Amino acid sequence: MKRALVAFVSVAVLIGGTGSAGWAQTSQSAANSSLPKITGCTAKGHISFFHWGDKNTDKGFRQAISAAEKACPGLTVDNQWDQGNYDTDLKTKIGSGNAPDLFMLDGAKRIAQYASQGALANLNSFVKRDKLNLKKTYVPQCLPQMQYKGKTYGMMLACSDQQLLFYNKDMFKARNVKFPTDKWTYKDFRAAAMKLSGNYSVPGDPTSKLRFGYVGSTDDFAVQQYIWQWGGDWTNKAGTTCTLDSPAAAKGLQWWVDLKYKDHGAPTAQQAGSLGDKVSGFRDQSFAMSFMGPWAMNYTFGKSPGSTVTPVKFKWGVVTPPKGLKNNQTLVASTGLVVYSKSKNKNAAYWLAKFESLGKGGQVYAAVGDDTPGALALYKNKAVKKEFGSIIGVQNKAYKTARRPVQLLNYDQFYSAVANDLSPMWSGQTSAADATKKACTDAKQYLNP
Amino acid sequence: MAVGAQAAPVDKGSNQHRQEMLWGYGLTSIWLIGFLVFSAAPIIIALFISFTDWNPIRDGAFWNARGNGVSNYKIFLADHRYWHAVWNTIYYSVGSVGLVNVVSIPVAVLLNQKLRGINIYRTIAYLPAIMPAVATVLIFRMMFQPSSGFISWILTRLHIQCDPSQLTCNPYDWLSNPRLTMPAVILVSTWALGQTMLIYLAGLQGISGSYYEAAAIDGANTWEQFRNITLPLLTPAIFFNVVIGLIGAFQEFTKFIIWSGGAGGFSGGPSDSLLTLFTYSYEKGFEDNLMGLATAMAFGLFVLIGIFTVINFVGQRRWVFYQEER
Repeated sequence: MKRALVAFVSVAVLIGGTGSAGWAQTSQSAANSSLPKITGCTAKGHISFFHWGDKNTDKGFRQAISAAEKACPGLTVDNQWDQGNYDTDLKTKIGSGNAPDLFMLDGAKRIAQYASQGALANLNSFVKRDKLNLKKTYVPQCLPQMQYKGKTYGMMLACSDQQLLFYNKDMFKARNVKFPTDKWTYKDFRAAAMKLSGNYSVPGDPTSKLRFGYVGSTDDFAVQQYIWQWGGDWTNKAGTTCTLDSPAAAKGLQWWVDLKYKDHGAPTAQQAGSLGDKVSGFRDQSFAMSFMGPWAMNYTFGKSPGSTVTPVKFKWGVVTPPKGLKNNQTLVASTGLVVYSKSKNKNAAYWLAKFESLGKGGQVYAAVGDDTPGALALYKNKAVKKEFGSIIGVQNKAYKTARRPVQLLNYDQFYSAVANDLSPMWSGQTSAADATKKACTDAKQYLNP
Repeated sequence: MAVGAQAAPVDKGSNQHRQEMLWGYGLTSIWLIGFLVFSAAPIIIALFISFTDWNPIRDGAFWNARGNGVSNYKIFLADHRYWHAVWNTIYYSVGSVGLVNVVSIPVAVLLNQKLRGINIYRTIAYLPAIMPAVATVLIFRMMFQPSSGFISWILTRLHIQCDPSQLTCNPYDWLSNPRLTMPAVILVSTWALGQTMLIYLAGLQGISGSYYEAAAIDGANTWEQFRNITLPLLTPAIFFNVVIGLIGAFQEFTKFIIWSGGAGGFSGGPSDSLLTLFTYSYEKGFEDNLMGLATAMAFGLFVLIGIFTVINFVGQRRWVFYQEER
């Protein structure tokens, strides 16, 4: 009995010690839908935190920072909200010797780039010290975007599928088209897009005007998704060879060009100008279908508390992305909180990153509809469930076919060169085969070494 | 000292001289310090940066950058996109300055008439010049929207293009057709011709009326008077406007960025049709993080402006006439 009591006490002390050394999410708190409790603060001093988002996001972060300062006496945080061009402003800050200690960074596009150039602090030692099991803490589909060459550089604030298929039920009804399902293929998608295109009115907008089935996005995520569905990619896995000119990639892109210029299921470049993009055009009911991430709750539907856009008046639904004709994969992206490599207070910055991603910050970021959390525990949180309840189930299904963009160290430059050369293709002036060949020639200088 | 009396020379070693010198330096120091801090120092630093491979993400502040000699200059001179940008810069500058001046002269002539309420017309003509460029370009962008813009509406009514409300119609695309983007931006530049027009107006008012009286006695009609009196005597103003206009046009940035949809991800517009030296330098610096190369390219632009200004000054001897010379 005595030995059993000693063993029990030892185990209890051990668990308590582990919790206080790092973070502890009690099963009790999860069951109560409250936030995970982040303990063991060793951070002291003053640090700066730089982030993007709308005024609602900023307000949320201010609350989260207050909570962090309360949880960690001796820590003060200078909250810096960027309302301009975040990427340019961040580079300017770093270049002028005024870099923030902690900042938000796009996981799909930039963490690898910044890490490869030595701008980010390797967080491995902190993670190890806190005995943080990353795979059990964060959404595993996005976790590699927080890492580069085996080292962890970011605490995941948000992770989401970027290609969920949102559709306008009113427009489908107006054209007598069946709603999309999770079993749809791109053939079904094209057939519906064609039927949904033409001059007609909808209940919320009685004006008969030219509307389209699909918005026809040509952004970097859309381009990759288009290519993947036909078994291609724009580079090899290592990012060292441009494969955009492969027959599969060209075929994938040509399919979407044809959807615009032959099938008229999406607007041509000439028609698209006044119809808005995948957010505004979908809001205006110019398009019946749009591929978006969970952030649509805030920026498209105006559903989130404090959203800066008015709520839409039409009924909408969401399903997993249609299955590709050769491949079935969907793009996931994430946002990380990263510590500047030359920060004088890396420990405090790391602690705040952990606090924000696992606790109040992640909850706030999700609750204002910016994105679904990166931390698994936050999916049990009431505010998160309330905000994304209708999407989380669909997203979880989509995660089964999740795929991440190749980690390109010059992602922006590579895409910039590609976009430039694909532009005549999207305008119907050249074929995908010709455009992709030129794109590979011009973009190869930005491939990984 | 009485008015008109000559001031006595001040001894250089005297207290008065020292005091005057101090006052002189004191009063000019504000400007001098401003020039040194805000003009001379940035130019020197920029020149230094152009000989480094400064990458802000990798190096942090510029003084951590590594020198790389004249590599940046070699890189951009061998870059085909750079030369495409040079061509676009010249295309825009010559096109916009030419068009603005061609339109401004008749407008100035019209506003030089002795009409009732002429000052109101002059004010209206000048008003666009005080509008922010961003707002102007955004409004024109809406007007040039291929399917719903005002320009598109006119072209449709004139049966120059198909009806954009039809599913299969592809109207003229002033925003993403590489052949139409630059002409559209050049057209937009005529909107703010107030400054140029004002200088012509001042030039016109400086032409003596006796020339026109003499020409009228000789039987010259209005066109002949314009061609043989107004235009030649306006050449100093034309020269001034062309020089100032070209310097400004070579450095144009806002129109291209806004026309192509904003700074984020600017890649020269459709098929690089809006890639100019300034926007290319911006792309290299703020998107590719190659600040050294971007700065070297900026010096390339400086040289190009210099060449055009010298050509203007050398060439003006052949076509600029001053009233005093006549």
